[in-house]
Amino acid sequence: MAALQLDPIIHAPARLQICAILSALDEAEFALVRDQVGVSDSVLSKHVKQLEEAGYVRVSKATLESRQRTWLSLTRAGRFAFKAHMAELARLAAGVRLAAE
Amino acid sequence: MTDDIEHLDPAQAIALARRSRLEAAERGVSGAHWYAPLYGLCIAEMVASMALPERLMGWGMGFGIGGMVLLYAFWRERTGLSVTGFNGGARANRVTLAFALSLAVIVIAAAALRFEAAWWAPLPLAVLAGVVATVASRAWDAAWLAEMRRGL
Repeated sequence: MAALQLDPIIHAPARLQICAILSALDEAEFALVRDQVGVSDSVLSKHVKQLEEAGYVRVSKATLESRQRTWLSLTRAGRFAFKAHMAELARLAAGVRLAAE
Repeated sequence: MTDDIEHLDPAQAIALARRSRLEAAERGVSGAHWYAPLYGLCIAEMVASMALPERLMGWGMGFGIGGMVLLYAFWRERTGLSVTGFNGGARANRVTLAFALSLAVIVIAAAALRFEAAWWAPLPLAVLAGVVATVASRAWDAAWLAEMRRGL
């Protein structure tokens, strides 16, 4: 039953990384997140779209010197969901350690 | 990059999240050693502007504030990150608070001495403010990284 408390939107590795990166920041540029996660533009866009549809990530666009840049940030709901997800992971990890001992 | 959640057990997921978070923070700090001294320069300029004739003081302050805004915008564009004073975690928040209080004391002292003693009194205090701001900026980076290393 405990596994049901993990957030399936966040738990996929790429989306977990995206949330982890954004949790440390106010905003991050799309290209930075792409490089850190190690995926292509299109793959990152797909994951960001899922997080955006869940209300976890906000996407904003800014133009500087005729170049458009996309900025990502966690919403309040996204920060809360990520924190809860990490707490659940920690609880599960502790359970696994105890079971192994 | 797989999307299969079965490939990550809880400990692996936690390690992945921690590593991603720390790497992003390190990227913001490592490539921007120039930020702290330039920030200190902007703060010093603002305090030094209190030695100007009263009609020019506002311009001097505005110049320093504009410099800080431009500096932050440049850092943000260059690193692809945005994180501000009170969003870096508990340790970084303490650094921000200590710096804000120190700067307030310096500014009040500079203003009092400027009008009660000598016009040049803000100048040595400007040097002090610049040094304090530079050290505080570096300390903030260190505190932020420590927060990131400490994990989630």
